[in-house]
Order: sequence, then structure tokens, then C-alpha cells
Amino acid sequence: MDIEEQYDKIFRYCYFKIADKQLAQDITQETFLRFYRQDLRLDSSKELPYLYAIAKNLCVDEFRKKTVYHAENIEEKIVCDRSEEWINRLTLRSVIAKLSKEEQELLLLRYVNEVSVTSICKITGLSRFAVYRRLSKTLKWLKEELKKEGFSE
Amino acid sequence: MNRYLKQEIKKAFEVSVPNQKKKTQFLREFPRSPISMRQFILIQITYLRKGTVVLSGLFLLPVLIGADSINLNILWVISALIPFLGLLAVTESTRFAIYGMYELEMSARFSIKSVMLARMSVLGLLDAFILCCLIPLCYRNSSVSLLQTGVYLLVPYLLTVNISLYLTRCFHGREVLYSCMCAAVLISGGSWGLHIAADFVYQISYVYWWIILFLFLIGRMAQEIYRIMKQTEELGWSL
Repeated sequence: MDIEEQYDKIFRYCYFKIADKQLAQDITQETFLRFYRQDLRLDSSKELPYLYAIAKNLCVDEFRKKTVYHAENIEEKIVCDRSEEWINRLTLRSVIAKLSKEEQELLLLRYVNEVSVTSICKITGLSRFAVYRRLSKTLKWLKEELKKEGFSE
Repeated sequence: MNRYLKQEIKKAFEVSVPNQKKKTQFLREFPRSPISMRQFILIQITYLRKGTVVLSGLFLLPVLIGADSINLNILWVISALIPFLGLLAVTESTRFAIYGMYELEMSARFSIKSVMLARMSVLGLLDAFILCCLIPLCYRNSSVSLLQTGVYLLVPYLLTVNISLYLTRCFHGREVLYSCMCAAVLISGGSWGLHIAADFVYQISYVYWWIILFLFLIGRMAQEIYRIMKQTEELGWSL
């Protein structure tokens, strides 16, 4: 497993869970340290789900401490940029925000972090069929919503 | 739409690491996962050239196919061919020396010494398997005893390995390959020539000398491997 490649992906996942960049980075590093401290002899197919499971649990722990969740405002980062690309992205973000947390997690894992469906099943505890069905349903819904919002290709 | 949407989803979730310095430092100091010996050997096997393994396996062909059809005693044919099996093993395990890749190997995760030992062990086992198949097959088609068959095949093999290992220590780059090939050709020719010109050395009365030579070559091979390992340790200081 390439740690450098996974570092950014796990960070993105943690940030998605707790919406705090600094804390997400700390959790990312803790995730890797815990993963290797276990000294497990895992199959390469089980490594990634295990890594995500650690990250998820650490995020849940932080969430329970209630030290986080001052969600960063996405709008603030868009510095007076009114280009079509930014408008599209903003539209997409607002539509994605309407999705349930589980659906957003599936999108992130599959299309952003490019995790295999097999690994997603292990991370989320869903069946293969359920993952495919939810993803296609979400994509279909997104397309419809984006059409309504005037999202342009 | 689907592809574009997926790309846009990727961008929508994009978020940069806040502290790049912290990330770089973490990745640099990160304790790498320990790896078991089995995993290490398996990794090294994947780096072996398939051609080497296939060519090594081809040494069984003359015995399996030609034993009955060739008029010559197959033992002497194999005895003349066997130095090339040794040549393949040595050139494959010291490939980094032939291609001048010392620096690259030394900067990698595992030490050059352990990589070389692993490769030598794997190729040694492969050759041992081939020889274990060859010896009884040759014995079946020859008039000499099993012990004699064994030493007549192992001595040219070990002699090639010994000389090739010595040449690996002495030369650099492509010179290693050429000199080892030269040695293998000479030993092969010598083995065939000895069978033609001085057939008496293969008589039963000389078998003890062959065994002594065999044991001597085993000892020398261990010594050569030790010297090569020492030399790779010293490379760290001279590079």
C-alpha cells in the first residue's frame, strides 16, 4: 500500500467526517500509526478497509467528544470568482449537501477516493448489490437535480 | 454526462492538506511496516526475470526428450550444458552489478545484501530442484552409479558458479556478464573435452577425487558468497 497516495485520501475522508482540517490531519496521521502499530499480517485486499475502519472509528471518537463540528464555510473559500466552473462546483456542492451522509460517503469513497466496490462493502457493511444500487440511484438523482439547477457541462 | 459528473464530484470533494510541512515530515519519519521473510522472498521472486526461470527449466528438456533419441550418453551432454545453468543463476542474482544499479538498490527499502541473498536462495532452490530432477533422469540413461552421476553434474555447475562469483567481485558492468559467459563456455567445452580426451577420470577409482573436488567447491562457493556480501557492505562507504 502506497502511504503517500493513501494519506490524501484518508485525510479527505476524515475531513468529510469531521469538517475540521487540522483535526482531520491529526486523525489521518493517527490512523496510519495505529494501522502499523497493530503489526497485522493482512491480505492486500483487507488493508484498505481496515485503514478506513480505523479512520472512521477515530472520527466517531472525536465526534463524541464534541470538540469538533464547526463546519467550515465553503462559500468563504470562493474569493469573488464568478467563473462558470466555480458556479458549477458551487451548484454541485449544494446539491450534494442535500444527499444523506451515507450517500455522500459512498460518492466520496467510490468516485473521489476511487475505492473498489469490494472494499466499500467491507468499509460500510453494505452488500455489493446495495452499493451498486445506491450509487446509481444517487447519480441519477444528482443528474436530475443538476438539470433543475441549470448545471452546464 | 456521467464521466463529466464524476470528475466534477471529485472536484467538489477536493480539499487540500492544511499543513503540507507536517505531512512531508510525517511521511519521511513514518515507520515502515515490518515485512515477514516469506513476503520478502515472494516480492523478490516477482522481480526475477521470467526468461531466466524458463531457460533454467529448459535444461530438463534434453533429458526428457533426447534421452532415447540421442545416441550419445545423455550424462555427458548435460554435464557440458550444466555450466550455463550456473551462469544463469549467478548473472540473475547479481544483475544490479551487471547494469551498474548499486546506488538504486542501496537507496531502496531493503539492503542490497538481503536482496542478493534472497535472490541467490530462490535461484539456488530452483537450480537444486532442476538438478534433483536431472540426476536420477541421467542415472537412468547412463552406465555409472547415482553418486557418480551426481558429482559429474554438480562439479561443472559448482565450478561455473564459483568462477562467476569471483568474476562478479572483480569486474564491473557488462564485463561481468561477458567474463561469466566466457567462463561458462570454457567449462562446458572443458567438460566435453575431458570426456573425449581423458575418459579415464570418469572411472570409479577416481570418484573420491571428484567427491573431494565437489566438497572443495562447496566450501569455496560459501567463501565467495561471504566475500561478495562483505564487498556489498563496503560499497556503502565507497559510493
